[in-house]
Amino acid sequence: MKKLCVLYLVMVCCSPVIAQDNFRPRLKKWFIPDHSTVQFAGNIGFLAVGPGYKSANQKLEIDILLGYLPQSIGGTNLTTLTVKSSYSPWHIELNDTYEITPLTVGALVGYTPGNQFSIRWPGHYPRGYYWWSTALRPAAFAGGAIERSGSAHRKVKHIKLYYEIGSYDLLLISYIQNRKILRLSDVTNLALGIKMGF
Amino acid sequence: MKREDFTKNEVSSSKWQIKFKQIQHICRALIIHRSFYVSRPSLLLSSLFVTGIMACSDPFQYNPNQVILDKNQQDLNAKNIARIQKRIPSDTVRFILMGDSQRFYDELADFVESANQQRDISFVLHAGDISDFGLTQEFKWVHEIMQDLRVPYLTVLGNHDLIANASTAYRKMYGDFNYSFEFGTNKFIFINTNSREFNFDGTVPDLPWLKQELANNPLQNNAFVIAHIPPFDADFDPKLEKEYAEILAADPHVNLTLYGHQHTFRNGTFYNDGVEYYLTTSMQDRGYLLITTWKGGYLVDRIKF
Repeated sequence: MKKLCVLYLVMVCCSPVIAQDNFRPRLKKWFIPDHSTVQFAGNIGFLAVGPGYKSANQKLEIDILLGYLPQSIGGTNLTTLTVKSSYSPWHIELNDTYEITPLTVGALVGYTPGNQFSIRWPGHYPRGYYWWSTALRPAAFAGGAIERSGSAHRKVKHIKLYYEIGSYDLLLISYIQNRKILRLSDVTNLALGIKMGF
Repeated sequence: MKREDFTKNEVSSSKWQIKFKQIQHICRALIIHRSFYVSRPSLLLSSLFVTGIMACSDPFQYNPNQVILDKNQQDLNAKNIARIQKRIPSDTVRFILMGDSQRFYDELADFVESANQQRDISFVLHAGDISDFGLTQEFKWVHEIMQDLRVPYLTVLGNHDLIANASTAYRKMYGDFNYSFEFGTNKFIFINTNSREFNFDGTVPDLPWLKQELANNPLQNNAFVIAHIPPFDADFDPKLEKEYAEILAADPHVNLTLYGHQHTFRNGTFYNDGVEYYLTTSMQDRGYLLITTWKGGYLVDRIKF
């Protein structure tokens, strides 16, 4: 699994560079990513990396991230594949170099494989015995970002730093049913990340 | 930012006071130095980060199934047994059986309040299903609430405490799935009876272990077998039901055996063999059992809160 992760990481980081060598920007094939993302925390791994795509109007972004949590940090090794979509309705240009994204909202689904997890419960459970899937985890978040645009001659043309405050289905249900004991801060957590555009 | 200065200068202040001062400082800086920040937006963002981090009590989570526990959240059953056994037992021992706290934190807090009003309690037994979704976070929430009890608490493994990484979390946080301890003229035996979670493979409950524990009772103490799923439930291995009941009936020191799981109070001598089975209800149903025991006898009260 570790080897697979490293291979994936190398592929992801190289793909935009390869793309630049082989294609002119205007002729970029649809599958060539617009940016690479590295995210810390946010329930998709200690670190998660992967390619990202942007809509033409720059408002919608889709990231496909492979996250890893080592046993030394998480008590158990966990690998998570995440599909994440973010919507940012506004971009505020501060000057030639900096741009602020005041609000980003989004949703994601993380898939964590493992013997102890399942998408559908095995046959020895009656139907509906447990109603949720342990391998798939839907989550939602809100956050913001700041982007620095460099010169067009540079390899990395944009660097975006973002933060997200998010939660997932099981925690939100717990919060809704226990408003006396649980605070919103008990069920939310913070993620930080970098997106590098090429 | 100037976080270090603050923590250095105000070591005596409480953690929250420091956090509040830090937030205040950042807000003031933001207002005064607006123009400064506009020219250096990365500073604005970093101050937003710091504010965000401080707003959450446990800001970073890496996976819903992570098993991250502090030292003082580990090996709780062994630690609590040591606390219980430090006290000198009287002839009559009184304890509480509650269970199925799964996702009912508000009710659990009310239970703790009610339990703390009971007199002469030695300990509380949690009959399992501590968590609902099998998340370590849920175990932590339950422990945080149960820590307000005036007496130690012990747990037995429930079927929900085996979901996903919960079995790893339970082992680390509470300890073995099967264990026992003695207090006064009583022996308490906790056993994993969640057969369905092991696909009815014939190993759960571990009947040889149970026999051995019951046999190892040289002082002829009252023996209490405590588990999550009662033998007459569909989640208990049907191949082992009869033998389990017979083992309990064959031991003259077992008069009372305790369970949870069905979210309702129930009791009876279901196998007509002299052994009385008691089920406590869930926290959602806002009830628990108050059990008083002495050499050769017991009394069970249903309490609603």
